[in-house]
Amino acid sequence: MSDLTVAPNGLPIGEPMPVGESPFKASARRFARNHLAVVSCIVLGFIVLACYFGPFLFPFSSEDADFENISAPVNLFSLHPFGTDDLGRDLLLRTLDGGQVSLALGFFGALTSVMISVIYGATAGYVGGWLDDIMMRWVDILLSLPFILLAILIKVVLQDSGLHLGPIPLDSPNISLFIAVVFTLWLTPAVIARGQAVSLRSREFVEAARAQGMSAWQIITQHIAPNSVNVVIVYSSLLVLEAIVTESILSYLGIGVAPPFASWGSLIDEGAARIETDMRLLLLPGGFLAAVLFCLNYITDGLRDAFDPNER
Amino acid sequence: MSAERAASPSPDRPILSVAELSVQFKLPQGWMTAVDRVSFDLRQGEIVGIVGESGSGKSQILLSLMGLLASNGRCTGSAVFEGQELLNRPPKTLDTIRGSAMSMIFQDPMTSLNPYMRVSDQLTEVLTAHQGKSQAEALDIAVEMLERVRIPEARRRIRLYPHEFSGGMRQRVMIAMALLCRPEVLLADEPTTALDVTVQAQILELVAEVAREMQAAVAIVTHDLGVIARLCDRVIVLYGGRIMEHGTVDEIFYDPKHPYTKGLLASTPRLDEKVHGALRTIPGQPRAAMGDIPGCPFEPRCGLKIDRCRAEMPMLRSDDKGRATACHVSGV
Amino acid sequence: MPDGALLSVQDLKVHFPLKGGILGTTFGHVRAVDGVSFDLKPGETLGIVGESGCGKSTLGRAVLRLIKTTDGCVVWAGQDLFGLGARALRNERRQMQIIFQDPLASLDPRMSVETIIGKPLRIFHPELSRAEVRKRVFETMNQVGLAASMANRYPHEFSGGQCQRIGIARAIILKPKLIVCDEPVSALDVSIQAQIINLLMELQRSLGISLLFISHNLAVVRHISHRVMVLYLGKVMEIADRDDFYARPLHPYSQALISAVPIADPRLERGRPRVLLQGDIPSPINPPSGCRFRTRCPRATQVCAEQEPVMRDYGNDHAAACHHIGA
Repeated sequence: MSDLTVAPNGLPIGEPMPVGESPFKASARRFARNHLAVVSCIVLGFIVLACYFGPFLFPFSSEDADFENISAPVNLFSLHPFGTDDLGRDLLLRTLDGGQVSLALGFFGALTSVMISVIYGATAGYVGGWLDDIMMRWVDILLSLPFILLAILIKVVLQDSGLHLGPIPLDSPNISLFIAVVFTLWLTPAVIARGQAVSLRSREFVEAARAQGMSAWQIITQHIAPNSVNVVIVYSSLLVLEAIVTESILSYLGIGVAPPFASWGSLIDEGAARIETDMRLLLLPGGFLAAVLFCLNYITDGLRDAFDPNER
Repeated sequence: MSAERAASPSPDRPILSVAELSVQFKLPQGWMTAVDRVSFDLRQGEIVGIVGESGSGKSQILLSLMGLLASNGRCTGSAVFEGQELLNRPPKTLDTIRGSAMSMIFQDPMTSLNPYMRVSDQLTEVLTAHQGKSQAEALDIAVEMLERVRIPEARRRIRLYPHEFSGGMRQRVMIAMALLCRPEVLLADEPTTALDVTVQAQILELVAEVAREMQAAVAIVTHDLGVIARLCDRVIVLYGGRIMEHGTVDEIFYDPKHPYTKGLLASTPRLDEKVHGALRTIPGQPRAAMGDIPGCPFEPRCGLKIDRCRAEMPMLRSDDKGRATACHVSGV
Repeated sequence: MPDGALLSVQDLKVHFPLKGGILGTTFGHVRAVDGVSFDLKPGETLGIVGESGCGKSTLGRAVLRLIKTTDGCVVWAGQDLFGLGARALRNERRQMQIIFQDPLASLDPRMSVETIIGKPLRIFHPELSRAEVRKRVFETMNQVGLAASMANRYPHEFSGGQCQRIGIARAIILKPKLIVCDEPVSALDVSIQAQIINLLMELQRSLGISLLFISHNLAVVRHISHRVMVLYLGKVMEIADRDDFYARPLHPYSQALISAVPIADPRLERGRPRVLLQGDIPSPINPPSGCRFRTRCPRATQVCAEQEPVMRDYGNDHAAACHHIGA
């Protein structure tokens, strides 16, 4: 039919046209133009690679005590470039190993929180009514508790409780730590997702979906949640930041990761105790943590500029 | 009661003379032309209709005359009002003209009035600023004007805020505000598009009446051919930022020359039609402003095109009676 | 129920409660639709006209059970639509579809055109393979005049008219019996309006669909409808066959409406008698007593304020609600 002779951009058909660009790809392109954010991604990527693949470059493990080199100072050309602690363990290696735990907890904790909060918030927002009230009042109550208290409560309750979720032992220190972290994280993004769902449910394409006979659950998962993710993506890098910080605080308080695992938080705990004798024990994990947090900050800004529809 | 039209336009020299007006906008992709070398005159007591679809640039013409272009826009060419050049002037020098000798009515009555000011303040402000009237005098004139535009209980209502008026009344308030200083030129950008049909009829009647009474020159921008037929003396047909055809209202409606004008008339369903077959359509969609192209903007959709149309922009050629067409195939 | 009617709406009411105060008590109602009745035959287009506040959009959605109704009933293909359970209702939905005024807003911005158009198929025929769904989608795109090569594009890459075609494709892919068209061409340019109107008429002819065509544009309604119904503040003022309606409108509001629409014919416009109404449309929260139109009606008398006029038939299936017909 004659509508086809002219393309939407006014040029006659026959001109080469870009392949369909989803809004997601358009946002990703915008993100890529933000140099600070891209550099932060690269730095963060480098740190992640270092933490997961770096240890293979060391001929020893982080637990190996090198009795000949106790409390060795920083000597970039020696076997221990950043020195050792008072038990002879290589500091850099310990930090990298600790990074594995912190980063894993951070990213997977954030990912799990995002998934939970989007579904929770989208359901509450779309269904509305008393279900919305109950679900969000529950979130409000949890939000009113100091989040560290909440995390501590959960960790302490679950740990050594003997509870199991199928094959997963909920009482192991690491699993309970993960749950504690996720439980504090999902609250605010749930509120955000719910707000998005409320504004989306009156949009015409949702009305069209209802007219097509889609069930509420189908609409929530296929229309509401994907359109809410945009806003939550922006928040998610902040979530990674929060996850890492929460875990660090818990570990610093001594109720986070347990030996033989170390995380940046627990390393900072140890380092803080020895701050008068050996600052390196604090500075190295602290420095890594700070670097990651800086990167995440710039990435968050970049994501918001690229993805948030309100900003555009 | 039939709609009377203004007496035949005065052949005096025009009040507003627009020559080669072009408007461009700076977008991420580069400079885009919204209006391309448009020229026309406005004479006292005459109502000129500028008709076009989206992307035709019709609103931008009015905005550039009033110096209201967006910050990423620029205009070239000339628009002479009473011997003074209007374009590209420092905004302050325009302020003496805007709102007094030349005023504008906008499409959306909801957003064009300040929601935080009483209507009385908004109206008296115009009079005290432009004509140095005292507050009391200004208020009297404002009430009188509101009564003129048929707002009941004007003296009481003038103290209200805009949101306390209905859509049709707000539009009347805006018309009153535009007429307070008895302008010589009145510009109207889709003044009735946002209104209900019965309210639209009232407003059109009002505009025709006051324009006639004040002998103002009116330029009304719209996409509605019916409004043009009801109100206007002369018509300018705009497409892709260029004038396609220009003539009196009878000429344009009964003897259209340009293929776009013909297509527009043929594709509009008429209230009084008796036969209801398929409407004759113009294929494709209205041209959005893009980079400059050498040929006629309507060429991709035109049924009469020849090779020359894509390569060369047809110039607007007028005969000695003021009738003009821009087309290689069917020009005057 | 009249024989052969696909849809029979009887005394439909939709009132929206207005809540306020600390306890959220209901202090009033917006009577958006206040007792509307009409029938629709298969393959017929009923044009529903009115200005703002008349309830036409609300009516369209209420008929599809997209919003809650307060009273009245809708008989669809012999069944009481409001009595259906959730599952049965979802099943009926494949027969009744809707297209919206804002073409772009009615499409999920994150889904490709193919996904959007194919969604109804996937919902009701999950047994179809992806290839089969795609084939049907391409066929439907062809029917509405879209190139199949555009199937992997996203809504924001299309113009208004093309988006409306996508919406129409989505509505017809399951070959429904009824489509509610809520001001489908009001947001489009004139030259595009004509394309879409032609498309709708063509599809109606070939697929035998009934259309509820909601619009404020009397000229478009005249072109596309078989019958016309005029609403004012939630009530039916007049209903008639198309030609009969435009030739001799009985209700003063209909006359005013027709008189108010400018015709693209200068000589005709100059000579037309004009019925100008006074004032603005009252609010649907507190409609005038008796006949709702009386505050603007040139023929209003005392009885109009006291008694609400009932719909009376004036021959030829032409009915109107007014105390002063023929005045």
